[in-house]
Amino acid sequence: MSRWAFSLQMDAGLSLLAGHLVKIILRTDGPRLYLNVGEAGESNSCEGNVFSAILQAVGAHAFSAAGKGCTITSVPAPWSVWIKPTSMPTPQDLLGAELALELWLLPSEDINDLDGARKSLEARRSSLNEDTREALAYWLLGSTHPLGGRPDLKNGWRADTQEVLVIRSTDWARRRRPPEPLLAAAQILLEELTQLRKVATTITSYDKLIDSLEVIIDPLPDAFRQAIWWEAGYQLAARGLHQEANIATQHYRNACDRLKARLPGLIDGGIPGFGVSVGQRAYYSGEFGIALSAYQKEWVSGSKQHRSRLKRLIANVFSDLGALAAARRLAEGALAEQEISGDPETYKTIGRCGEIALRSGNIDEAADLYQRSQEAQRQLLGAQEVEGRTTVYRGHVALLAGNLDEAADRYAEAHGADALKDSRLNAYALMGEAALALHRRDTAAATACLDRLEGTDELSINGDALPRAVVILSAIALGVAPREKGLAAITALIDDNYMAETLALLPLVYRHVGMANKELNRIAETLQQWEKALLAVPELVGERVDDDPTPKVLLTAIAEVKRRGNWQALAPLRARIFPTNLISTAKPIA
Amino acid sequence: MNISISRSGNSFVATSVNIWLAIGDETGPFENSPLSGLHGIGLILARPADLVAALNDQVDGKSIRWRMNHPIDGLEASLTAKGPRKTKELARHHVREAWEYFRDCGIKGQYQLDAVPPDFVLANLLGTFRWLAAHPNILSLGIHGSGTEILVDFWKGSDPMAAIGALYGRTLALVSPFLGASPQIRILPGRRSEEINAAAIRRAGQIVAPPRLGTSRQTTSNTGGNRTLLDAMENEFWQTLSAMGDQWHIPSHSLARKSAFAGYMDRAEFATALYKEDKIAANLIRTEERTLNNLADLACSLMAASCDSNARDLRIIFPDPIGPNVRFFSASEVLL
Repeated sequence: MSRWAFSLQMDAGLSLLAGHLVKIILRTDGPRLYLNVGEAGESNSCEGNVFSAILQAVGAHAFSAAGKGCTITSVPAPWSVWIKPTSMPTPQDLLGAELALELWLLPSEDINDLDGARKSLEARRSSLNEDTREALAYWLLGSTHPLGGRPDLKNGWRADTQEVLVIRSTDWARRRRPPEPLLAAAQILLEELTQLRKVATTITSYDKLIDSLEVIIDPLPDAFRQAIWWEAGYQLAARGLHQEANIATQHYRNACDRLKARLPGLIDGGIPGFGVSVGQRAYYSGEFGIALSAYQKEWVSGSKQHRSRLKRLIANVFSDLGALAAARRLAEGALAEQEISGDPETYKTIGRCGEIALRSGNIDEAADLYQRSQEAQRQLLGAQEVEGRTTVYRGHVALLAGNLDEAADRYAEAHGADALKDSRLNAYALMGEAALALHRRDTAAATACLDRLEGTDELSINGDALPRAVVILSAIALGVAPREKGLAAITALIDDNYMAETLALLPLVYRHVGMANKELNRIAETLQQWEKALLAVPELVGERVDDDPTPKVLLTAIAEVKRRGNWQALAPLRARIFPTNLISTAKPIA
Repeated sequence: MNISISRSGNSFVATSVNIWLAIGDETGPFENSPLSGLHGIGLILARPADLVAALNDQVDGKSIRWRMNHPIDGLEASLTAKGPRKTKELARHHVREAWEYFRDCGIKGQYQLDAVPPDFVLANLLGTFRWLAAHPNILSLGIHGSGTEILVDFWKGSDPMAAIGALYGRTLALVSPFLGASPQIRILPGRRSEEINAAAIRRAGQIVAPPRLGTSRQTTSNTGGNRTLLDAMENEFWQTLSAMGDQWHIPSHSLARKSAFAGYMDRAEFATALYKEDKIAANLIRTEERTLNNLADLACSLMAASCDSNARDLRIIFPDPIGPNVRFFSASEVLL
């Protein structure tokens, strides 16, 4: 139910006062709207009053709208003598207007302008039928309001969309076969998305899904496309396929742009999950300021659908920025919520808590959390489906704890687990093995890691500069690779925005601080932007902890390094910057 | 019958002030109880220059000024024959006298407003009605109803003066939003007398000067009735505007309200107040008050004739609308 304002013109009808029309604005409550499934209407001609046209258009797509409680404010007595009764809006007008708001055909205000709504809808009358179809498709997926008309849908439909599109369930199954075309197609979409979560997808998987849906419903609504490409972007990033995730995200943004062009009501409120998509891509590009800004917009947009996931995603950024206390608070909050709701991504959040513990130097706690995360994955996916990623982290924990044999076993285990499902090299396991070689001063192993890295197609490890740099610098530290390779690795790290990591590794390639001035300045410049990004979200950061290796602390360290002219001031931080601490903590080569 | 309209030449021309003059009159036995017959008020509303011009309009070779200061053409002999009690009526245009004449002469039947009847008095009455109804620059407004209808919303504290004031206030409020930017409405309600032992006077404990010998009535300037009428009128004016909620600004300060709407029942006081605002208006009131009062009587009579025609043996059939600038409300239409 919305508040509406409408204007009326009072006309004295006296010729002496002709032209002296007086405009008055009245406010009234619209009806409480119910959208129901219904019989497909015969006509989609959208004739007559534009508000009636919307109601007809909804009917043409096998839905119906009903309203309760509409009270139209009348002109106060005695002023109604100057108003033509036909100029007053009808309850049906308000129902149509309320429906237009509900379907995002109009932007929503605290008090909505009925005359403006009429004009705006009239201006797009020729596309009203198509726009309404698109809006209904989006409403089915993106609204939280109940779908009425059948007992099985009343609560069931929203529970389904929540489970599949928000919680991202891996075991949802459809329970009904609705005859309504849009509803039927939406249900198939939910089912197919669920199925794709059980297999190792590539971007082609989602192209094929779109092809198959276009056979069922043509044209395929952009609302469906945005749901598919959001999922693709998320899933492909989770698999480490960042280039494909970028393409999927671009498709997603294009679909969102088309949706917003059709549904102006989406422009201000935003499309739930949009900030998640933007933020994730920015995060993986090391654009932490953009990521935080996108996540914050999603946070305040009012949609609570993605809140738990969002807490973890923000915690990811915070932990990379060294704001560990804030990251821990958010990740633990998300974990508590996800454990209660049985969220299938709980294991990811446990893993994030593990990394925060690792970065905080709490090795035992990290070991425990990674073990829990792996166990949760086994329960969720089955032992055969567990990827090697968490095992790699367990290897890092063992390495930092000084358990070198265990670390070696974990890295080997990770390679083995991934080999079953993915032919690509697990670069992070290789990174651990290179660090292990350094700790063991095993030049042969270091050389083997370097050879393996260099013999691997860069695209297959997504060109990720971090594991590449760790492998190269381990080899340099052991004297089995030329320093020039280290300089190139450092440049690649900076280009990929690994600023804290680069800072920690600089002493391995530059003996004298003065030689690294260019890199230090560039790092400082980016760190200053990140510090600003943290300051811009005080409500998310909460109370700052001085001990955390935040950009501010790193900037202080850089200033001190420059002032002293040696790397000594970095020493306490190098142990705390993960994962470069895997090699920066190794004993110096004599 | 020929009518010629004189133009002021400046109707609705933007000026620094936007003065509107209203002259009112009432109809119906407000003091009688139980209330029976038609009750109401009628008024003319125009810009001062338009009113000045209107007085020079010609109807059948005689100016409106002349007509308003004489009995309806053809009625003089009849009034003279009635002796001294009608002496005052020889110097004014009082429609009530025409109705007495029609009754006395047995003139009955139905006549269209644009008819040219054989009776000279009736022909002149219709002519002046037509002139007013068709006037392009004078609004004829009013509210009418049965005594019971008036009682519902306008009978403030059982005081007939307050009821009349409320009717004026409601009528002018309803038209005020259409009068252009920041209109300043100035009204001269019809002067009245009332019974010195009227209930309202007794309730107020008013000390009333003795009436003239041979009458029990006293002018309302001496009974306190004027103040009651004016207060009720102003209250009703603002209350009617405020019924629209926050649509229009209602000045909180009494001086600002007085600037927008003010009524006077004393000619000298009215003319003095107007002098600061509009010298044409001030001069008009000072020199033509009686003429204007008779114009208000004409408007009120037009309302009575058009709304209460069943009460008489002689009926005038009016077109709908009566004229381009004529609007008479029934009380039930404009209840708060």
